[in-house]
Amino acid sequence: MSTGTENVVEIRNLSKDYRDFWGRKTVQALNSLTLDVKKGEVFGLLGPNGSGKTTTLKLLLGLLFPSSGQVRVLGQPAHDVEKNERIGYLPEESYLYRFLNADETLDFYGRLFKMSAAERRERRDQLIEMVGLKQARRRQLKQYSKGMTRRIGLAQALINNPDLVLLDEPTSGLDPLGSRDMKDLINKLKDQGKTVIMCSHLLADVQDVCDRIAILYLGELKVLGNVGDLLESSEESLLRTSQLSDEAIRDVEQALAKHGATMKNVSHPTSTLEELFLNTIAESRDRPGQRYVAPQRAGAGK
Amino acid sequence: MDFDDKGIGFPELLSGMGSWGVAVLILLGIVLVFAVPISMSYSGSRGPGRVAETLIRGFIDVLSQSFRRLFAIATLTFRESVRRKTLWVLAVFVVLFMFAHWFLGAGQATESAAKRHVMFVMSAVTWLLIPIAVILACWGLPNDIKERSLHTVVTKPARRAEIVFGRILGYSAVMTLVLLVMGLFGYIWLMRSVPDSAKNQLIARVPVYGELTFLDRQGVDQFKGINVGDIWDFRSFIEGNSNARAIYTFDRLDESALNSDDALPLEYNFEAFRSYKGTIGQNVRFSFHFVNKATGLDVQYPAGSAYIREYSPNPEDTTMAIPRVLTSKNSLISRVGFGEGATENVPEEVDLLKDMMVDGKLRVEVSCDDGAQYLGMARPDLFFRLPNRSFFVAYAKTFVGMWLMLILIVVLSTTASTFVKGPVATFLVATYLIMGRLLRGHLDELLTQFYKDGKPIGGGLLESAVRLTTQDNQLTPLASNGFNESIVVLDRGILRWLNAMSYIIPDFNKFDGAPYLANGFDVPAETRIVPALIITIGFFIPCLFVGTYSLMSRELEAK
Repeated sequence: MSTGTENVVEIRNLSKDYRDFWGRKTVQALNSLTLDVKKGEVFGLLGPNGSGKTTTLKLLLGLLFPSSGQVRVLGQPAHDVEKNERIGYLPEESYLYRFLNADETLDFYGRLFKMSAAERRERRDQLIEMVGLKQARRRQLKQYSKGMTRRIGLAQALINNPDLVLLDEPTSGLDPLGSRDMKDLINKLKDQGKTVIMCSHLLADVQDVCDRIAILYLGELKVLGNVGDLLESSEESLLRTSQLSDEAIRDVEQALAKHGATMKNVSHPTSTLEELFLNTIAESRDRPGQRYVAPQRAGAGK
Repeated sequence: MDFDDKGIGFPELLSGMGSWGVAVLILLGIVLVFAVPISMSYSGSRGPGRVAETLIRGFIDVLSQSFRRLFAIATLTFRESVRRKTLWVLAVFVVLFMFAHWFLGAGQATESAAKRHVMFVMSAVTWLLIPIAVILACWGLPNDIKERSLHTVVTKPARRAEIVFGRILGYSAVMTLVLLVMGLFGYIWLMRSVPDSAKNQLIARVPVYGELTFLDRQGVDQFKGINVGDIWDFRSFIEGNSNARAIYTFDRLDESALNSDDALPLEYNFEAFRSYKGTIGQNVRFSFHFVNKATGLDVQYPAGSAYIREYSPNPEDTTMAIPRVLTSKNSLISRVGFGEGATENVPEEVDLLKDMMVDGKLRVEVSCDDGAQYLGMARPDLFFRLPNRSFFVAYAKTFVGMWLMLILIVVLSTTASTFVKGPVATFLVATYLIMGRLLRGHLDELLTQFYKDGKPIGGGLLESAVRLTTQDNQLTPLASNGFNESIVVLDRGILRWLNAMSYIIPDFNKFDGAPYLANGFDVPAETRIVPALIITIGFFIPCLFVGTYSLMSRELEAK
């Protein structure tokens, strides 16, 4: 689904200073940030620790108050409670009520929205199935692993089928499988026309799912644009073929020379570690008995 | 403690509402005095506008609460409390009761056995539950903020007012459950543990009190009797064998006060002051005179004198059933020649409720019949007894008062926890409790007895300190100089501050029905339950606003 032109988030000259007890400024977390997030896009906020990513998310949610500047979310000021009907938020750590179990957690958050008991039940079962916690739904969250807590955290963020989803370090604490699931889910949300804003310092994750990104450094916006446009190198071309013989490579080189171009590098493409890991797990599921066998060393057994 | 404090009528309610309104306006003024400069320091000239906007938003927040969300937050709070093992207090309670007989001497039929048992149940419940209510409600919200679980709630469409109110409802539900269990357990324990011989003390008497005035030894009307030199001037005394009388006027008597024998039970608790030893083993004598001032009828009952019974724990010993119809056989009927229409005829019998009532009022005069002895009495020392109410109902009413007190504590604690952390909130509420329960009487005494017309009698706190150092008599005027004048001004400031404090510190004693129950009285709704309910509501409304504004105006992320 393509992104629309309607702005879901509008940030204008947003600054945030942290102050001490006496009101003295200690840190400027954000400095004159201006950006828009459009409906239906997956937007990534990037930056090293302390760059202002999470502060920006919290200002959008009304958890922090701006020192100056304006924020509008879904057309409303950030402090407006009504707008939260259409927002889902996954915090960096899953700050949930540890004495509740998964069912109770989702039922509690569902009650905060205009959802009937039947709707809540249906949505709860659907989300628990989706995040893979069916077996653990009656266990208190204090008995959950970090990954499981992230999953239930995600489920609570989606309980209201939100139009805007804010994800703070969504893949943090997840194993590669969970991380892949999360990225698939973000793509699915995008396909459903939802707007997703995520902040992360895991660049590969952001590259995989985001349409646009903003890079922040020390509270200032340094880069803003489409991921494809920002990463594209227009001065070089990449040609991908089936395996070539040495002779064929020489012919290609000559052909390129005729057009004034030079061949810079010829190599076999490598897969990513993530792909290798996911393929191994998938194969293990298909063939449970198969194990790794160490290659025999020469002379062994003599 | 006496048991005749006046209930709340419509005029008191109106005046109370006026004071409440003034207190709320002063609170708003204090908030503005602090909020506007702070907001201006952050937002410059837009500061006052932001404060006004927050006030309006908070008002809308309080008025737009959703029952569904309130219920969700209340349920969450209830679950949180239960799963954090709050109900273990019931185990402590049971253990306490298992060993209670060791120190209560259960089974020994002493004179005050019932009172001791009742006070034990009430004290155990109160002092176990007050700390739990304070700790639960003071620490819940700050923990929620510290662990950031509140983030996942405030980023949903939950209003700040719903968070405060929902928490209050949840903690109140926990307290209600625990109180119910303790109440039932305590009642069963009382029924089983109070010795049979003392079970007749487990009653709920319903007194009808009259107004008290005096006649001195010449028979002249007086507001007070004689002071026999006792510092505690609760009781006034009348001299024996003289015209001195204590006059009680009852205006709430009708046929509903009659018992099954067609008699009016009249209970008396007089104190004797002896100017000589008298006869060993014989009490001071007195008699009742039912007087109709319009017809001049004076009916003495009993015909001979009765003896006072000091320190008797059994109310039945000091209760005299006065027959509705008094005849010349059981009383002395005479006519004193005052009043229009008085005739010389003395009737053979007199109906108390027909012949002795003047404008719906019955006048009972008490005389001391031993010369040179004195009889002391106060307003609650003589009362007619309506039919006893059920002890269980009186017991339940005491628990209703206690329940309201716990809810008020939850309200105050939750509100405090919206603007300070758990330990500070606990300290704040504990101070409030000590001021409102233990020191409240002292505060009221300071304001009513030691200050007259806005001026401290004999000097205020600072003036007294100066007089101590200069060894000046309290009656000597202070030397006129700038220092002393500023001391007087400061003393007036302290007085005003104390006066203001008396409005914002609830009188927790108004919730306490235990002394009534322990002393065998019904707990009157108009002096205990209704004021307690009004106080609770009176504090709940501003507290809800304060809590809402506090949560709205703070960054929940900031630690």
